[in-house]
Amino acid sequence: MNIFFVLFFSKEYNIKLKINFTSLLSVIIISSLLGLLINYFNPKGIPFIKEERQLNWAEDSTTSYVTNEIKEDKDKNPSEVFDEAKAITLKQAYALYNRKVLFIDARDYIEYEIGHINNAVSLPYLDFDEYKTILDTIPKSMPIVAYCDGEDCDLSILLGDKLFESGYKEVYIFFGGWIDWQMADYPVEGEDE
Amino acid sequence: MNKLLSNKYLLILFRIIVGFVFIYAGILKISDPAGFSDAINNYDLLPLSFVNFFAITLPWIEVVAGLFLLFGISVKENSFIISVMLVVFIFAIVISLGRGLNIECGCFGTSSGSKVGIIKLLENSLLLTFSFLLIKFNSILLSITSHDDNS
Repeated sequence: MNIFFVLFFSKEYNIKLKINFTSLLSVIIISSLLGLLINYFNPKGIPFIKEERQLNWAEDSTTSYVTNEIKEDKDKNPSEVFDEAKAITLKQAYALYNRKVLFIDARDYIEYEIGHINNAVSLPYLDFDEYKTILDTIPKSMPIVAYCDGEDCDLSILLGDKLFESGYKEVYIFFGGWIDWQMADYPVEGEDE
Repeated sequence: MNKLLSNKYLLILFRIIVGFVFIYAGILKISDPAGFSDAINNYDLLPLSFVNFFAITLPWIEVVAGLFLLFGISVKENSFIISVMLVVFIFAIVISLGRGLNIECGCFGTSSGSKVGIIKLLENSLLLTFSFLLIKFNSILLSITSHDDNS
């Protein structure tokens, strides 16, 4: 890498290599402006400053009636219709676990093998296409809880959003994840058991 | 060795390869700006407020520099721009590998699903070598601005 810097940043070589920094900067500036302009008019364009994904937390009243039973749309209270995947606390997650709601592990399959929430199934977000066949067996109206390691990992949010986009109507994100679950000494399974 | 590497047919081959790779990679990123923005964010190297600026501008720099390279316009300058980008990409991949991140590369948009790894590192290093040679020897064969002097 030193050679690179010596080559390009020593004055002597700049002359020898005949790099015209004006045209170099022009290319960068013009392309950037072009990008900004097109993004502005593009319907798929993104905001100039990225916004952090704000988690919307589920109310206790929403989670307290959730079971693993498949509800018909007509049985649903309109206030229960989700507009996005909702985050839940450890307490809410445990309550859903006790009502046999399906948990999906968004981490790598190896991490899942080592240990996971009891009865959870594996759907690694980063290999989504490879593992997504598992979703064929899960009806779209079934409530689902996505989780990953814990607060430092966002795979659960990404997977939760993806599941919601693919048509699951009731998706929860257990943000505390595997770390909080283990600390609370709740039921787990895996090789470490 | 220098004589072999400065062969004008070899250099135009490098120009075409690097040019096409950057045009292709740029277009895929432009087609899914939100996906590319997430891909940059997954590297966890840039503050959140800068992520989208790069997601918007970088693919266009790739496409424009790639096109110019392909048509032989300011070959040295555009190879330089591409080299700088490749060095940054290589650093990002090395850091991510060091941190054990298993993330999507985002190199050719996000739909290709290729992961950050040694293969990506080798691909980028090969392209970087080609770009260095283009900066060093220039390539004016089949250039649409052939009035350039050849050093």
